[in-house]
Amino acid sequence: MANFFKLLRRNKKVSFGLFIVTTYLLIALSAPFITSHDPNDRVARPHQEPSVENVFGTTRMGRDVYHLFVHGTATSLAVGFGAGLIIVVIGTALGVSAGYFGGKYDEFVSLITNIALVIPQLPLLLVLAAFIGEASPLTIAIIIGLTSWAWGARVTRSQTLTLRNKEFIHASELACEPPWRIIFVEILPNLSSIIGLNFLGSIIYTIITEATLEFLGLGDPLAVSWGTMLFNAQNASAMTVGAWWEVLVPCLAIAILGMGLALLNFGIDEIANPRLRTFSGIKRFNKRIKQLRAKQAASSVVQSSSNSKEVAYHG
Amino acid sequence: MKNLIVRSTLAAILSSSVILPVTAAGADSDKAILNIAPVQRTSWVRNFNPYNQTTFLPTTNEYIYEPLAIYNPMQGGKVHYRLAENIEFNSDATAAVFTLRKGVKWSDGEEFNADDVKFSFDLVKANPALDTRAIWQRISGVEVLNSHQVKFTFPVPDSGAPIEIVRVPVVAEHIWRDVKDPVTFTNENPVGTGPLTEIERFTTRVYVQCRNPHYWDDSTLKVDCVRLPQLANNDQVLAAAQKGELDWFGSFLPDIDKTYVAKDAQNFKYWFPADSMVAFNLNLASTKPGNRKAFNDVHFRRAVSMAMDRNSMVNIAGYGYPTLNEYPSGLGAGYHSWNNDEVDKKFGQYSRYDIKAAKALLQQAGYQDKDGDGYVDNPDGSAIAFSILVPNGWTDWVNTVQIAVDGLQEMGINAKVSTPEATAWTSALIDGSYDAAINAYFAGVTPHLMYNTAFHSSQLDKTRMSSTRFTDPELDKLLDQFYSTTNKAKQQQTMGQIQMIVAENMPFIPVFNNPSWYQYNTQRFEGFFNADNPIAKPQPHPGNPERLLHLLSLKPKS
Amino acid sequence: MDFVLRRLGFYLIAFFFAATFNFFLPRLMPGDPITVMFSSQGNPLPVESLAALKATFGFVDGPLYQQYFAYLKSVVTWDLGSSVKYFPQTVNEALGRSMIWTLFLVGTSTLISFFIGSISGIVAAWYRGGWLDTILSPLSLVLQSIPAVVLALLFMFVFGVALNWLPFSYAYNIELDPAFSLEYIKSVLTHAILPIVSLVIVQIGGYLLTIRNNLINLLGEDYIVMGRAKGLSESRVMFNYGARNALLPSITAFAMTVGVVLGGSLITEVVFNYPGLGNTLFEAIVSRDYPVIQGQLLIMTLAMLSANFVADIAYVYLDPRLRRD
Repeated sequence: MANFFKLLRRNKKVSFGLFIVTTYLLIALSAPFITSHDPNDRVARPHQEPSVENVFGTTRMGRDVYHLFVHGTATSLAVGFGAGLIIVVIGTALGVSAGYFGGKYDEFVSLITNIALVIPQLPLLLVLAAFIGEASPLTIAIIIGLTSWAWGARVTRSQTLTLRNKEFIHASELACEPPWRIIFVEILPNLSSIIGLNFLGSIIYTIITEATLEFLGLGDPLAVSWGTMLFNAQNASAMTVGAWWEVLVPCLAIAILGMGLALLNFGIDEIANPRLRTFSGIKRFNKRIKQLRAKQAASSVVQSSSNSKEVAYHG
Repeated sequence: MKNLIVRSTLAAILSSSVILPVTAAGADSDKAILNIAPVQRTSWVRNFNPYNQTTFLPTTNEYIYEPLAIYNPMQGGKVHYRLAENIEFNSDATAAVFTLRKGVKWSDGEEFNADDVKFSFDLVKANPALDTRAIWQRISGVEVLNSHQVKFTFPVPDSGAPIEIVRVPVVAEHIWRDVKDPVTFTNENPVGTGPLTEIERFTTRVYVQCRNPHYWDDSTLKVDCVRLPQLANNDQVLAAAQKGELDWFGSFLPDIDKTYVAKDAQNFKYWFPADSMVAFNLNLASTKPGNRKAFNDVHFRRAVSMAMDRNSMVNIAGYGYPTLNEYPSGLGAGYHSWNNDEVDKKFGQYSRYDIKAAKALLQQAGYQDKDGDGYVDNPDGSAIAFSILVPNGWTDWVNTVQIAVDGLQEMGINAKVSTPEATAWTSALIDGSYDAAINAYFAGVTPHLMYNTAFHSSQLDKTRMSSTRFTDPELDKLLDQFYSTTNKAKQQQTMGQIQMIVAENMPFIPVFNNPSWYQYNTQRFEGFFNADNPIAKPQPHPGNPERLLHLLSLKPKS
Repeated sequence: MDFVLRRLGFYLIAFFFAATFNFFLPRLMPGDPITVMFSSQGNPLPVESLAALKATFGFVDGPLYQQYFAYLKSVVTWDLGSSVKYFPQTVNEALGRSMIWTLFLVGTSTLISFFIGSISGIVAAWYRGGWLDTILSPLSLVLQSIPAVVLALLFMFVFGVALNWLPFSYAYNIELDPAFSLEYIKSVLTHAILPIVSLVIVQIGGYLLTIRNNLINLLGEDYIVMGRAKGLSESRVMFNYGARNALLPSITAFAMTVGVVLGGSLITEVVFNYPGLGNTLFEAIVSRDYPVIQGQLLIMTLAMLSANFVADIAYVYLDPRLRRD
């Protein structure tokens, strides 16, 4: 913990990221206290400029943009965290089990994972959302969660493979520790940084994707979320009629949260990998991401040859 | 029905990249070229098959295939004769003889005659896929009397049948008899009787359709060509319109006075006369017993109607474009000449927003919150809870329904909004598997079409118009009676009685009439229809036959 | 070679799975295009006509396995039927026309971001901590977390609507007929600027950071130190010793981003009314044009698979260790 605060002090970017995300979390959690009415209430005349009564202005329907923003924050975070959780659970479970148990099971999981990776995501999600119809934020979170675990599974698997051949695992096996114990006590803690990266990355991805789907009109138009705000603004041609606030608020909300999460992601990586801290700065985060990507891509190349080889290259 | 915000909403904020002045549209600049935007598509595909309503180009009917006649609802159903000169009923209105104009030629120079008419109707009969207006349910036979007379017979006395007959395109027998599959035929080089038959330029992005060299009414036609740029959505239409690139179009434009008119107030104008009626439906055959019980009680339906803030629906959800409909019969301003004033006096209060009176009526009828959940229940204690269906993406309607729900909630009725896909909405309305919904009705030549499709027992389960499942033997009789005569006064009387039954029972809850989308630009042309010149429905869309009258009234400015 | 064949086998299996999935998707969806078209027009199609029309367009029910085999056959022969909304246009015509534009957008923007990204990444790594690095690296990170839709909308608004500098709809001026003329090419290029720039911004950060971070890792390696010690010029060491090896992960990243770029291109095309695959797909979804939707998903899957395969081959070529397999 002390280390953590030291790191925060030293790394301005991480603390900034943490600050952003915490602020959003606070907004979401205190939504009932910092708003005065239902966000869908029509409280003013259409398209009022930001003013004292309506700090972010009003929409074409006369709804208060501030209220929509606050409740939208709650929705976006819930969808992001929800889908992130699904992605991480599925990805980690498949990745670790495949990596640890190996054999036919591993081959099967890898095949499925690799297939899922080469199917284009966004088009598929668009079609799915359209087919389901009236896709509420919850539905969107679930379909994103169920279709986006492959990357995490692959990365976790190759990391597990590396650990699998480490001496301390061999030692545990020789000591006849049960597999569940090895997985939960020996392997998972060592994967925490990857899992954290996967989680935060998935949240960013989910929030962006949800907004995109809703913007395209494939979401539930009654849901209060940033994507729906964009969709409604677009329908009212808000920019054309000069109601820039109706567009700008959700745009900035998404962009700033994305930035905060990205910075935080970078921070987790630094905390987990002290080796990376030699150079201060933002590079670490993406270096790590790219390394993982490279690893995963490389593993896709190597994987059909043999597992041990991959470990040899990347371990 | 045109929903305010056309469905595929996405899109560019403004767009279109036409930079050249429109007069240089790839044709001679001394021609009078009218730029129109009747539909929104992402690409033009060359298909001029007039029967193929799903895919044909918007300039096929009327422009290439001139109708026999045009019935004009805005003039109380007046007939404008086109290829026909006269329509004569027999004494009991079981048959009508169409006398065709002499000297009409197809655009390839061949003579047009009665055989072409018979051929076209036989073609539709032989290919049900082409019979998109179900004409062979209205007629029982077509007979050529002589080269310029055709007799249609009807299964029952039906003075309204010609209204439908003239909507069936008449094609050239000498061309179409050799067509192997008329359903998939794309008719790329059309031969027609209409004013504009020659396709001068065709790309996926724009096409130009010009004057028929043999047009019979050539002296009236002052427009040499129509040019159709491909525009995919409302925003692109708006961008093109703002630059003055469109002369005649019909599209939802947000805040039109600011976004369009203000750019050139001298020339950029619009007119949104009332079109199809929009009403809320409560399904009398709902599968939920509590809902069914309430919906079948006219007091409940009236209370619901009085909870509808119609002004907000029109002004906030609809940008002020729709026309308020406070007719208890749903008749609407467009048909006011048919109105029975008695009906308004008796039931008018039920179709005006009055939340206090609505609450009082509910209470009086015994609806109270029995189980303490905060929502009113039936007098017998069974719960009332329903969702109002509205197609996803039809934003104006979604907002309208939200306003309705606000009112219902205030009254203590447990109502919610539900936004399924348009197809799910349609099929739920057709098969009756819903509780409540918003719906739009037909705007026919007379109000008969709206009432008949909505309430005649023979129409049940046929279209989504019969969604409330309200029928009444007396009403059936009146509906059948309406067209059994050609006597206008008798029709008027029947229509009055129909309104009385509908208003008394309030099976649907009218809120407003959709606007007819119509904007125009007088920089290059004059003679446009508008509130001061209300000749006919002004939209350029296919499906509005009166657009031919409109086209013929346009003149290039000198 | 063995390795390449094995990968090819995998891609075949993957394609088969995707195709099967593709078969079931529309069959799980309520509604058919004919009904959709008529429900949005408000025109009540008589039941008989509806049935006849459905039959014409091939929406007839049969045993599922029969439909499936017919479908597989159509996939193998790449005879995907015709679009319903734009009948009689075939799916192949519709896709063929739009694919050119998407290839143009995606190809150009990917090449631009790859080169600019990689070169600035190399420079940033070499002078790490310098002003370029301090600005570019965090900026890349931030740009990566902005959705394509937000970027495209902002670009369109600022440069198209507000400043009116560039055209922001369609692929060329519609008054021009496609021809190999200077005017036409100019028109195509100016229309492509905004969508391409939006796409470049979505991608560039990824390439920049990948190569930068890889290079920084390599800079500590003995052979780099050695190169410097030998007195080789900075640029020689930077590009010949460092960049060459750091490029390897970028190649695979290249394949991995194809999916992301296809998605970004989809939304960018929709925003800019660009007549590419994304726009076609979106419209097909809205109008439930099954044949086109299916064709789209197949072609996008094929694109992903090919990109991965190309990356595999490139990897084998660049990494001698693999060639021994």
